[in-house]
Amino acid sequence: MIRKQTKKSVLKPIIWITGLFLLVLAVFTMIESVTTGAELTKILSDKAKYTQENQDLANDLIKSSSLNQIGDKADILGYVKPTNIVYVAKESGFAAKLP
Amino acid sequence: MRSRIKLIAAFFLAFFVLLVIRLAYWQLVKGGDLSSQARNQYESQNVISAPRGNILVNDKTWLVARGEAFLVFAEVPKIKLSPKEIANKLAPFFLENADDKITLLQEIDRIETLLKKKGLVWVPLKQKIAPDVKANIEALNIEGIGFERVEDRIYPEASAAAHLLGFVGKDVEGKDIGYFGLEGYYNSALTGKPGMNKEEKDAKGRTLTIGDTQEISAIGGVDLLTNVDKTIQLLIERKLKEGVEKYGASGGTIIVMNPQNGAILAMTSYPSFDPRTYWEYGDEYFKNPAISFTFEPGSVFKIVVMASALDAGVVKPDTKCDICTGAYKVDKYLIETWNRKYHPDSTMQDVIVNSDNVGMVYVANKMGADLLYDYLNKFGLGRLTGIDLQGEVTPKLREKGTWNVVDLATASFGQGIAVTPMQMIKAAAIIANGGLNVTPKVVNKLMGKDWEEEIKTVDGERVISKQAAKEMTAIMVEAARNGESKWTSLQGFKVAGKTGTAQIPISGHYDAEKTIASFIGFAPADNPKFIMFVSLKEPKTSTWASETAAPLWYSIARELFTYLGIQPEN
Repeated sequence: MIRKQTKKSVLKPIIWITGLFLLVLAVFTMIESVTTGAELTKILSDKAKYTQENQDLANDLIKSSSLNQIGDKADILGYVKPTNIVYVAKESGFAAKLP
Repeated sequence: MRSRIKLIAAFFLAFFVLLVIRLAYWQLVKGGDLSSQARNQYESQNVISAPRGNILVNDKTWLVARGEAFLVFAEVPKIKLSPKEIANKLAPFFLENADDKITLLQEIDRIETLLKKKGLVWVPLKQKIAPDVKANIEALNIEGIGFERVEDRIYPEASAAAHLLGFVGKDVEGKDIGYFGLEGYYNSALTGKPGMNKEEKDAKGRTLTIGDTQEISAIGGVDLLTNVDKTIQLLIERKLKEGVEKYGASGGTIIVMNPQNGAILAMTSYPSFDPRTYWEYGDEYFKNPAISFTFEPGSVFKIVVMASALDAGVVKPDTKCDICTGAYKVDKYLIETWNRKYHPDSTMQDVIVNSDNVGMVYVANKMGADLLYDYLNKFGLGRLTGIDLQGEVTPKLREKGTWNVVDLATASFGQGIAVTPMQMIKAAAIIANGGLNVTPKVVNKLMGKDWEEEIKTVDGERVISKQAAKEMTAIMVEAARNGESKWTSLQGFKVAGKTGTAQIPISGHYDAEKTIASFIGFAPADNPKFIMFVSLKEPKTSTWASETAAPLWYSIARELFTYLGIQPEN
């Protein structure tokens, strides 16, 4: 009879502690899960933002590579195409004659 | 008391049975629907579009680049304003020119009609608006109006090289597809493969980490690295437009190629279209005349026949023509020279320099129809050149064994036989490179993310001997210096060239006034860096190529010499 009572009194706190531990674990896991979800959403939104930024920069680069635009700018800046090309012949080397 | 207990027990039993039946109904009958409705609430599934590949020129800058645009849509249940109010606000942003009142009213009417359609929840209002237009619409903060990112094409050089590029339109399912040119020929490689993203979200739209997530990445389309030189491309476009206006032509084509390997450096035709607004043009504008326009080439064709005869050994450059004393009768036709001047005892060089039709009949007679046919076949005439552009056509050669004396005689000076400009430049490139076959090639490499693959063609088969090619080149140099276009030639530069003024056949006879003027040439003649074909359709200032196509050729060549570093001979 005494042994039975002792057994009961030992089992009760173990059940309580285990239950409490599981409860804390469940709450913790849920918080972690929600936090990670929020972080993931933020990462995805950042990714979309950076992709957009990347695309905008690529667009600028593409536009600035346009030869038509560069040609127009060159005209405005006063660059002109040479009308008369002068070709200069390279002089052939010679060896000095010995006296 | 007992009977009351029994009554209550029966009531509970009946209630329990009803409950089970109801639950069974929701679970077994309606289970599927409810499950999918629930899935729609927490699951999101998106198609990840595969970015279409870029088309690059030889310095790896863009001719066409992948870009983004937006589809404007309306979520009808979320709309707070009336359809009329929304249409009034959006219409000016959907038009290029909102000042045109009639078009503006039509656009307002179109949007309003779409929004008033019954039974629709999601209504697409406008395809492919630019990012800056999207930003302007967003600033209006209209509830129920949303945007979906879609693929678009950016053309940094505007409508340049339109025929070469083709355009991206829609197929029957509304998906992007390339038509004509490179977009059509390399559509599969450029398109890539779309991916898919599936994930579970909570009530606030945040991703559930413990949920079911699947992602299949999109495989982007590959980039095309072409042989096109942007400077030369823009140069010939400008020059062709000027030439067409100056000589009153109805159109024209210019092709610049590296004769050593068949690389297409530039190609243009006029009139052309704008690939950004292709729907504003008729179908006839989309065909690339450089590969689909068939014409009787006239005198430029003489170089192919003469090169064949030299290779076959039936004539030599100094062989004298013994029928060149006057007009020559073939069957019931009289063959005359273009200026009705005759040169007795002309050498083969003189025949080309004077562009002598009678002299060419002499050459053709020496060859015979079957041998000439074999050579034309070896030069690739009557067959597709194999260029990597969608839309190439080829006129057929008259079948071997069916040529009569008139066919043989007229073919020798480029009449009664049809070619495309691409076939003509390919044949001349064989002479320019020393007698080897080449396949015209626009794309040099396919470029993926971490790999690239060169486009290889089976070339190098000998068509004519090196000696024959050398002799023909020397004759063409003389033709450029002392032929009918000598007045426009550039002193000091060794150019090999030939003019061609072809009559246009109309219902069984040749039009007396309309011609196709062309000039084909390469430089430097001994080791050419480029070969260029110029043709003008129906020039009005003069019908002769020596006064239209030839000066246009030389005006372009003058700039190419500087750009490609080609020096004068001395």
